[in-house]
Amino acid sequence: MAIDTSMRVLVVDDFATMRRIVKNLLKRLGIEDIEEAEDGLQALQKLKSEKFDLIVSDWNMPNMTGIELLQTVRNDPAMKTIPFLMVTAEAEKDNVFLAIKMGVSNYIVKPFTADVLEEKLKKIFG
Amino acid sequence: MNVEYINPFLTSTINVVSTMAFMKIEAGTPHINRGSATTGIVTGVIGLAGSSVLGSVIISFSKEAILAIVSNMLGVEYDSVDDDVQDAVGEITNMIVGGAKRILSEKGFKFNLAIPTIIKGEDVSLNLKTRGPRVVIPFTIVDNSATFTVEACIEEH
Repeated sequence: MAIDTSMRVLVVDDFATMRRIVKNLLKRLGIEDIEEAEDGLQALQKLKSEKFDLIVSDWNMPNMTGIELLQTVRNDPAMKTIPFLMVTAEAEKDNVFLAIKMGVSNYIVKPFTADVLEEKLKKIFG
Repeated sequence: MNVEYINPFLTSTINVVSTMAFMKIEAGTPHINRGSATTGIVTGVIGLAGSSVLGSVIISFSKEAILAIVSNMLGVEYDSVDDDVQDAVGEITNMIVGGAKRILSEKGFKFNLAIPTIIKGEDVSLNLKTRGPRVVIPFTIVDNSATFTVEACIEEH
């Protein structure tokens, strides 16, 4: 199944480099409508005022971590159905279980390629 | 320092550079850093702490190495170690240490990672509070012979 390239994506990472890499990879998949946030708190502000079809968030961030953002999103009736792709450099089993328990849609381990990202998006939206 | 700590950093470094920057690198022979200074022009440092381990990982790049890696990673040519490049050093440090953490956790070594600090400048003295030797793994980028090092200083308590 092809990915809907008109989707609006919020990319959350405290490192501009990773936001750029994720944006580049999404663009390679044909997705152009991408917003950025530097941490969970900034992401929440954007999520409350704008509509997004997917959140791609790092785990380890200052102010509000990815798992805290996921928990907040899943507990908010207005946002709880937004697909949430967690990006992590660690992916230890305990962390993965915690993310699944919190309702993550899928997770991706850094470093990753465009093919891996595409496969994860297909799993989420397939 | 337990030699079991070293290999995961070697494996993770090769994985990160080859996946994100599409570059082949070779590891040299690990040795002990007797001094306190950084080896490159820009350095990422990350602390780790667990119930039985405490340590720091220091990843230090020569100018040629980091410019080549970041240019490939972001698809834009960089000719100086600017804010973008320093930010990338932080993220590369995160990914390398995160990957090593994953391998080490499977071996039963559990710890948490801090957020990396990026230091710009040559011969910067790092006064680590971790006791024990700093084991250095030197790396060379095959295409341009540029070098960088990954140092781990981990103590068990």
